[in-house]
Amino acid sequence: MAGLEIENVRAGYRGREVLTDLSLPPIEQGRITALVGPNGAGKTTLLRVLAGLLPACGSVRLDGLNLLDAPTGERARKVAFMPQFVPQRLSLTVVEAVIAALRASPMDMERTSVDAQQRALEALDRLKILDLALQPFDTLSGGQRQLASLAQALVRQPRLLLLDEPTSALDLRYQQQVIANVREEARKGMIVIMVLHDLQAAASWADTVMVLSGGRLFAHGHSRDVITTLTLRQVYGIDAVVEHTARGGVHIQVE
Amino acid sequence: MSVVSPHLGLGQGDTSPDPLAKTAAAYRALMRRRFAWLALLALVAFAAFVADLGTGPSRLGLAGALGGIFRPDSLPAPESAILWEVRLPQAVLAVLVGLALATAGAEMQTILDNPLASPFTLGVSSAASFGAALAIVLGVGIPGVPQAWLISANAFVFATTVVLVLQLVVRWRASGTDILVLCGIALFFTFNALVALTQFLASQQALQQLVFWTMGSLSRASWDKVGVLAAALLVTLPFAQRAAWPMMALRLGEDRARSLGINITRLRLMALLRVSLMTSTAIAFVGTIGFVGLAGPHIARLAIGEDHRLLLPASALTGAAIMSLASVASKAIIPGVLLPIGVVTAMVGLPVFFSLIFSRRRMV
Repeated sequence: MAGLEIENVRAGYRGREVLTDLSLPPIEQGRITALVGPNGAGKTTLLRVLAGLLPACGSVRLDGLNLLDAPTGERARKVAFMPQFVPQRLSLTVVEAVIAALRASPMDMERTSVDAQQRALEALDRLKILDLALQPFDTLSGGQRQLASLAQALVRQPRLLLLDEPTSALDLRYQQQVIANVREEARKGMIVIMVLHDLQAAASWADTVMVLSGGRLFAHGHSRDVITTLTLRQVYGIDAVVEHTARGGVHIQVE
Repeated sequence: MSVVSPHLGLGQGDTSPDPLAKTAAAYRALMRRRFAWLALLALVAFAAFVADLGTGPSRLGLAGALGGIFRPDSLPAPESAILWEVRLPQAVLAVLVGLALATAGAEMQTILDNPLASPFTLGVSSAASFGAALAIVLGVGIPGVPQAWLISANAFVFATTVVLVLQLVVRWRASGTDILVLCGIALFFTFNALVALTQFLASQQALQQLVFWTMGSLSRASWDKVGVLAAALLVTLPFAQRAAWPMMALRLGEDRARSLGINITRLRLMALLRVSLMTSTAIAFVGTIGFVGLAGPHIARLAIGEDHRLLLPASALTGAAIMSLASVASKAIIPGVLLPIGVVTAMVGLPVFFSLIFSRRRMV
């Protein structure tokens, strides 16, 4: 079937299992899914499993293809990952970094350089950072780096887009910019999963919110049903007043 | 408030070009500037090579040397011998050593994500020195190797062994270049201590020979050695160039590179193999020459940026230019005396290098 199915996934790091038999409801295309949860809940671990950075047991099917044992090249063509951190020392220019993301793997080599350059510039244009194209990476601000990093993922036009804290360094205007772009890609048929710490951001941007806790799914659904006083108490161990606004936002007041 | 619309204006200034096309044009212009830098580096390297040919303790000057190359019968026999048996092999070997060490340095700095990485900071050259020391002081060598090649062969074997050990580290610990760098530093100190021990045990004459070897010298150049090093470069440089895009992707971060489908363990392994072949061959023939492998790529990066397609040739050319200039200086500083070239690269190169680091201005 079309979409992403995650069943009985176990994964972790040297001697420490983080995801203990995690199964998620099917994730459909055209929607933005936010993964939230406390530190150590397994959000980033799950993202790394999906991106092929961490071995795992279980079943992860993207449109029927099992990502866990798919050939590296095939997975890389369908899945793009935006890591949380960008290297500090990098004097590649922004457009070069995006072209490198496009031409890096052996099976991308047949792409001509003119075509790759054009696509890279278009990706920067969509994110409204075309003016940064020729700036070296290490002269950018934190937010600009994040946008350039997002461009490296978007330019590959993946089927599954994985974003780890994509807006943590962005001001409000650029947050909107990023979300509008991601939403547009989702509308065109991409599956978008983003890890977010900010529950208020998750509520206003995502169509589905999944709360992870201790390596398992605690709750999922519309933010209104998921981000509740009960969730905050049981998952985060805090008492808070939660108010959902009519436009899909949420206001959380910790007591 | 008045708003000036560019479309209502008259004349040629009113075209508002498509920003995409404009940026693409700016990128092309940047690439042209980089190619210009590359051409300039090539020119400097070539000029330094020619100057190297024309410098030496004998009377053979630049004009004579060039004349002798294009019309071999224009020189009297002794000068012709100096040109073909001394000057030319030394000058060519200097260029090749520069190419090899600087390319190796550039590749190492990328795969280790560490601007301090070079064949010398990771113990490769110390190991080569130890191999040479064994041959010089104790006469220990590989059975079957002719006496004339004993030192070179030993240096090669030890340098390669160090790189192989580093490769095992890469394989065992797929993540963490810090561990690799620390292992390299540990090897550096270990082999330096072993060299010191052989020096302590050495006879007066062997000690002198060993010290001279470790200072680096082109005086042992021969066409055989030129041939071997050229062959090593021929089998490594094309592969280094082919890996340019994956290496750039590696610079985007390990996670990113792996998610793009790159096998970074293999990428690092292959790069280390190339580095091993290039540096150990170079060091085996000329002794330890520091600085080139570190400074060549740094200077090239300042001029060209990090686009590996251009950075590799730029580093190579910078390395060649440094070596040729150092060779000229080693012959010219004290007329009639040939200073060890390793000492010259450090003395002449360091001030230049410092000024570059501290100004740290991008040239493109």
